[in-house]
Amino acid sequence: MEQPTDDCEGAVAQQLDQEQESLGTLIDHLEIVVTEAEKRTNGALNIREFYTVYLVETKLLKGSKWPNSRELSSLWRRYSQFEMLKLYLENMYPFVVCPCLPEKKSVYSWNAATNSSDTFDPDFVDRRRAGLETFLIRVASHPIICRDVVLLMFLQQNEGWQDKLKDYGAHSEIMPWDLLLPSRLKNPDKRFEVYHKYGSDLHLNISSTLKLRSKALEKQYCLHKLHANYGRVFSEWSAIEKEMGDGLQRAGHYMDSYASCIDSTLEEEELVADQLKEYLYLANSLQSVCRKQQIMQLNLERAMAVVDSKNIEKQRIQQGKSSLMSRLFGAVDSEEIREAKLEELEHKITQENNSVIVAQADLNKFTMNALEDIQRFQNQKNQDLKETIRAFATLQVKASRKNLTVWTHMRDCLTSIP
Amino acid sequence: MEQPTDDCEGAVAQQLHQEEESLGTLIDHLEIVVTEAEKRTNGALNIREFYTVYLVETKLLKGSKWPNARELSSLWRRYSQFEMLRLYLENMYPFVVCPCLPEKKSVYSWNAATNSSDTFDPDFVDRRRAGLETFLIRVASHPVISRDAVLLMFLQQNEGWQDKLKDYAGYITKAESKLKSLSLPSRLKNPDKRFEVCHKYGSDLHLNISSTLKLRSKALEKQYCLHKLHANYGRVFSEWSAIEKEMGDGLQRAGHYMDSYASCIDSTLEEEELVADQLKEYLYLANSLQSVCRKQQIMQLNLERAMAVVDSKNIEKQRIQQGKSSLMSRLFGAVDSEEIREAKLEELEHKITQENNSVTVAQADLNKFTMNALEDIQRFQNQKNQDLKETIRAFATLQVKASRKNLTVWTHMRDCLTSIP
Repeated sequence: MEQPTDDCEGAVAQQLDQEQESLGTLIDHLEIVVTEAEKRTNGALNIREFYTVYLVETKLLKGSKWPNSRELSSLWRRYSQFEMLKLYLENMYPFVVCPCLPEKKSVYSWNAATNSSDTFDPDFVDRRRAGLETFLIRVASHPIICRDVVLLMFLQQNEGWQDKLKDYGAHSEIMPWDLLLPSRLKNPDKRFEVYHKYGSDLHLNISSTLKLRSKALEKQYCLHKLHANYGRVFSEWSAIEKEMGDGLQRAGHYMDSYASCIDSTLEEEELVADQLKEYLYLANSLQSVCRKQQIMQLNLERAMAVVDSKNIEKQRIQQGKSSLMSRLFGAVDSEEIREAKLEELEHKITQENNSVIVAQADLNKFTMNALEDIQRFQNQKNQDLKETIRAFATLQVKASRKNLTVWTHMRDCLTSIP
Repeated sequence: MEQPTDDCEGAVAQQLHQEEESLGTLIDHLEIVVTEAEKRTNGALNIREFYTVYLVETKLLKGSKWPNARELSSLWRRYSQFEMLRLYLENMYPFVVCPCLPEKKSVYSWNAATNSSDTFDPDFVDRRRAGLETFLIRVASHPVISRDAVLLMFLQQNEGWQDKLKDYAGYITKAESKLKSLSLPSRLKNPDKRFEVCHKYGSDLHLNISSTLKLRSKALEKQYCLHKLHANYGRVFSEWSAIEKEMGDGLQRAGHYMDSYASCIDSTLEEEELVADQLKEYLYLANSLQSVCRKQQIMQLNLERAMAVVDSKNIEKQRIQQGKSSLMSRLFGAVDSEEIREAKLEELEHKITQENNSVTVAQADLNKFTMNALEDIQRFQNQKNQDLKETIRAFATLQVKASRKNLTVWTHMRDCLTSIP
């Protein structure tokens, strides 16, 4: 096994280089489904700890030549394990706008009931199951990430993938990603500044939309349920009427019908909202890539600053200017000592120059890969969000049609009574 | 002019008795419209008092033989004058479930704006105009009330109808005070079950309608907020489209449809107000019905009191005849002489005869009232069944229309978005 290098492409990816072009992505070869969810428990008798596991099943498509892949697999994974996988991928492929997991807790929900922190609520669990499947499919569709060996092991091997993570453990410390302000950059890359701002604006717009959606749903729900009260009042009223009683009873039934037709609409709507939420988190992912570029640039600029300062020092020694200390106390370096210092300095300067060259190369490669992936992300986003808005409109059409149907039936029923 | 009697049918109605059957009701002969409303002012320079007047126009249909009717008329009336007319009619024809005026102030309105006491708000004034027209038409459609001379004068003569009211003023005060000095039906010895049932029905009807109106308010308020919320979507989508290159177009269009959705509620709410007014009319008619029932109970109470008086006088007569004297005499020992006893008896007999006559008259009045009232309550029930069925149908039709509008907006939005590649 090759020693993991600091190469952004990842060790394993190089192995597949030649076959890469013709192979396509993992998803073209492997069917991935997250079929079920189950509640498990561990811990002693008194301290029962519950958690949910999800069944990840894969099946290799006929005639597929994906290296190291099994034909069938079926294993249980916890949400926290998915989180580990994502963290690994983010660090292994820092220039990629990494696909996101479904939310840990329900945000922007439209009523108190779904807003609870109950991660065992069946609806929440099911939406999470769907979100995890989406995550795996997205990851397996990514031209670069999908070739990752650890990913394949996560999907197909029960044990062992976590050990592999430890091999790459050192990697995550190499780049201190959680740093600093781009304002300290001398030459910030405008392209990444623009993308960072875009990510932030996108996040803002989506979260505004989700907040509005919550309010709208809440009002829609109340409006529909109110009609159940109409049903009750009409029912009571029909009791005191002789001739009108029949008409009132029927009207009351249609009111109840209207009250209940909102429920399935809301369930379907939750799925549309989940699509929006995915991009809320992807916007963060995008900003994260931009920040990494800025950090790399910062490191480069620092390395360059070190080289500059050492060059200045060298110049000073060459021109015979001594350090402040020497001037104060009168000692002057002998010719030998000066030569020795110069040589040491030259050696360091050469080292630092190499570091700068390497850092510059890394930065260029990162920039190129990142810009390419951001483009991929933008294309995917345009396609997905257009689809999401269409789905939203289609859902509204469906709901309106349901409403129209109930009222039409009510009107026709009442008109038919003499 | 005949002296107004306590006759339930009203003096003038008697005049038309013979021609009545073939004549039909006033509305068959006279077209009545309340066309406009105008704001007037009176009072000194400093103390400006504003009020609204409504233009009442009538036109006699061709070949009509309605007595004393003019061919055309056009005059201005205030709401308070309508109130006077109604009060007169209520008291003149107490057995009638009297048609009602539109509300004095907006009740059960669904938002603070329409709930204000602003009786000069143009929408409120227009709905009141329509309500006043409905009132006049209903009154003119009533087989008994439509024949009233004062009603005709109110519709067609600018002055003079109010003087006629003064003739009946004392009558009205008496009737009002009877109503006010009310007693509970529980004091009746033989309450008429039919009227108790009708009274309860009126009370239940009022309750059900007011519950419906309250629900309606809440529903409208939520519908309004829901629609207007979508204008915010429009705003967010507009801002969002500014940062997108390829998606921008789609977002812009979606935003426009959101604005469209936000505004399509307005006309629905206006139309809905008219349906609600129909319901409100029956809210007040339910009170009218209860009022008729109470009048019957009062008449019965008076009859039972008169009968009680007769009974007590008869008992007194018996006692005198049997020689028993009053408590006072027994205490102080004085005993009436034969002459005094005879005199007392004669006086008592005279009174008893008087009281018996009163009872007979009261009984006759009650019977006539009961008969007329039951007939009018039946008329009311038939009208109500017809009207309220129509109201509920109108409500359903309005919902269909509103749903269709919503569906249209969303369908356009979806089609528009689907057509963008």
